[in-house]
Order: sequence, then C-alpha cells, then structure tokens
Amino acid sequence: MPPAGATSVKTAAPLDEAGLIRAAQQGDEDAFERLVRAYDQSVLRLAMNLLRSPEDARDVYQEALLRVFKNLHLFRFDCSFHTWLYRIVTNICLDHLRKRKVRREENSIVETAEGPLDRMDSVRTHAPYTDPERHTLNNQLTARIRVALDDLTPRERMVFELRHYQGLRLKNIGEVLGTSEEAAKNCLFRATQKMRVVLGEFV
Amino acid sequence: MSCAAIIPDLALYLYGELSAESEERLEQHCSECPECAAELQRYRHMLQACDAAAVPEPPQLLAECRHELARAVESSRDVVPPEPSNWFTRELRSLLSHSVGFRVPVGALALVAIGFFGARLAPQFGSGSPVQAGLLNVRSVQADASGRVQIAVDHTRRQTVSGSIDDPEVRKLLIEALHDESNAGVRVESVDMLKDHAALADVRNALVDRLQNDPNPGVRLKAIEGLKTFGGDPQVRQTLARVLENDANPGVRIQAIDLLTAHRDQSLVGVLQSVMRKEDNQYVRLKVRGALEDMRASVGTF
Ligand SMILES: [Zn+2]
Repeated sequence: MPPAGATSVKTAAPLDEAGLIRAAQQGDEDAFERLVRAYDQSVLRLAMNLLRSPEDARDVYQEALLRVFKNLHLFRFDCSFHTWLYRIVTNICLDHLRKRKVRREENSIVETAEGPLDRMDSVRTHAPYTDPERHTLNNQLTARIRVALDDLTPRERMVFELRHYQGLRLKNIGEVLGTSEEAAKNCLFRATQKMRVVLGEFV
Repeated sequence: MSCAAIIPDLALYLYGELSAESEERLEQHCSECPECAAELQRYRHMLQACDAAAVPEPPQLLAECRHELARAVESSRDVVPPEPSNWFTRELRSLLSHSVGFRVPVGALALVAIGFFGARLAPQFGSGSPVQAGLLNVRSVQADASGRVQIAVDHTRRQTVSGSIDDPEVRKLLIEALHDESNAGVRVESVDMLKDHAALADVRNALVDRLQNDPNPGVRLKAIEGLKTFGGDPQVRQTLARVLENDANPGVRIQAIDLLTAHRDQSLVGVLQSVMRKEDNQYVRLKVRGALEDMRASVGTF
C-alpha cells in the first residue's frame, strides 16, 4: 500500500499499473482490486473532507468505484488512470456539493417574530454544534475555516480540495476538471481570496 | 511593483504555483514591503490552519467501503458463479479474521459464501428458509482459534404497519423511529408527523427529548415547532432554557428564545442573564435584552 493521503497520488504504487489495468479490463477481479487499493483511500478522504458525512462519503466511494468497474473497458490510456478515476470521482462529488448548495440556500431563511432572518448570517459566527469547546481560539479558527470553505462555489471548493488536501498540481487539476491550468489557477486564487476575506482578523 | 499586483499571487506562491519570474518578483517585493510580508504570513497561517480543519474519515470506513464494493462487484456480474470469487472469498475471510461490529446486509450471494465457510450453519440457512436479500443483517462475525465461526444474525421480516396517529401503537413506532441514531432522515420524517400531536403526553415527552438530545438540528427545529403551544408548560420551559444556553445552532436558539419570552416569568431572569454573557447571535441578544428590560431586571454584568 502506498502511504495514505496526498502523497499517495504522486508516488502511486510501485506496481505495473498498465498491466493491472489491462488484466482488469479482461475481467480479472484480483487485478481490479489491486488497482483500486492503490487509490481508494485518497478517494474516500476526498469525499469525506468535502462532504463531511461518512454516509455521503460512502455513497461517493461506492458510486465512483462501481462506475470505474463498469467502464474500465472504455479506458484508452490517453491520460493517467489516476486522472481518469478522479474525473469520475470529482463529477460525483460536484453533484453532491451542488445539490447541497441549493438545499442550503432554500433553507437559509428563518422566519422569526421580527421578520425573516438569514440563518447563514448567524451561523457564520458559530462553530459547528459538534464542537464541545467552541470558545477556544483554535477551535474558532477551525470552525471559521469550515464556514469559509462552505462559502466557496462547488468548483472553487473542489479546486482547493484537490490542490490543498490532495496535493495535485494545478496542471493536473485542469485535466481532471476538464479545464485549463490557467482556469484552475484563477479558481484557486478566488477560493483563497474569499477565505481570506471571511477569516478577516482571525489569521 | 505595486502591492495590489502582489496580493493575488500570495497564495499561489505558497503553493509553488507561480512562474520563476513571478516568484522572484514577489520575494523581492516582500523583502521591501512589510505590509505585503505580513499579509503573506497571514496567508501562510490560514493555509496551515486548513490542515487542522480537515475532516478525517472514521477508522472503519475504508474497510466497510471496500467490503461493500466487493459485494457490489460480485452482484453486478451477469452470471452467478458456482463459487464465490477469490476477491469476495478473501474479503469474507478478512471479515472472519477479526470481530467486526458493523452491519452487513446479506444478499443471496453472501449466503452462498457463508455456507461455503460456515458449513455448520447450513441448516439455519436451509433452502426452505424464507430469507430474502436485504432483510437479513449480520451483526457480528467472529472466528476462534479452532476455526469455528460465530455469526450473529438479525433475522427480520419487513412488516408494514398502517393506522392513524391516534393509535397508540402507531405512535409508539413513530417515537421509536425518533431514536434511530443511524438514520437522521427517518427521524426528521417521524418528528414531522408527530409535531402536530404534542397535546398527547407521550408525543410531548418525545419531542422534549429530541429537542435536547438529537444531534441533527433539523430534528431539533421540528421538535421545537411541535412544542409551540406549550411555551407555558414548566417541563417545556425548563428544556427551552437549557437549549437556549447550550444548543450550538443559532436557528434553534432563535426559536427557543421566541417561545420562552412569549410567556414571561421571573424564574427566567437568571437564565437570560447567563445567556446574555455568552450569546453572540445578534437576534437572540436583542430578544434577551428586551425581555430583561421588560421584566425590569438588570441586563447583567458582562
Ligand atoms: Zn506591498
């Protein structure tokens, strides 16, 4: 097994990947399993950190890797397997993020006796309810960062996730998301700038 | 080189995503401009803090996902093989090698596999048994040194109960569903159905309990909605005061303060003063202050 997390992507397992892919394409499930195990922890980590829900992360994992299993015969070696896999995974995650965004916007107005109030305005100054020590500085910073991340558009959030947490280079992120390196760079710039604004004096 | 032209590059610089010239230009500028150097430090601090904000996957999740995938791959085949594949067999063996607590819904193919390993169990899963895929849950699987296998199985048959909410049996089931920790969706549905029946004591108690204890703010908001007409009830008021002090969700606290202050009594003063000391939601603060002033109590020292 390669080391977990961001580094596993770059140092992908010392296995004959092309050979495994061909074998898996022929229906060799052992080969498929070995192929999956080189990357699946990164996939799960990506989904978990983006969606912050074990149930959703599990759904993404399942949907993505089953899709890989069913479509592997279509893989033509015109990009790396990792890029191909991440195209599938990021598409599914982006769908989740978009649905969530819509839901949150629909739910963000609370009716109060004084008229409607944007719930997100007040949430913004709050740590998540799971945090038992929401008054300590570090926890507040962590909570703010999560809120700042939630404020990004799904695409900005994804670029930030891939660059910061998964350690992909912008050029590769462009390939995964079907865009140019320059567009990915702009996206990363917007993401970090927005976060900087939300965090204000906190950093 | 102006500061305005440097700022957009700060984060990209920290990620090593600038061209060599831009990088050099930025370093040059920051060595001469303390403001930009300080801003670079803030970006660095922010990005470092992002690591602490990462949400790691629960320890068992990867193993569970792999197991589920193996099963899904298995059942996606067109032709059912006479014996489980190597992968599935190995998965099951690894599952058997240590006790696991997670639930594994078992389909027809899994039954084949269990029969394969736990021949002793075969009579229980005989061909005549009314087992259907998805209605059987393996709770735990253990193997001892001699190779004997113990599988704890919940064998449940799906039942449908229908009736009016006035039926105590139906209510009992709905209230039970309110406690299904694993399924927030079911809890939200149940509380939604129950919330218009808070006049019934069992429902009211369940709503009070969920308002205080449910981890999901959606459930807590619906519970409080159901208690709307009971703002004068002492038990409900006590709960509302606790929620106002402790609930981390401002939406829930807003509902709690509205409901609490709709009925004023002096016992509220202490609670409100204490809330005033730590509340940072503007709306809640406003309401608390108003209520305290109406009751001619001091707003408190803070
Ligand atoms: Zn400057």
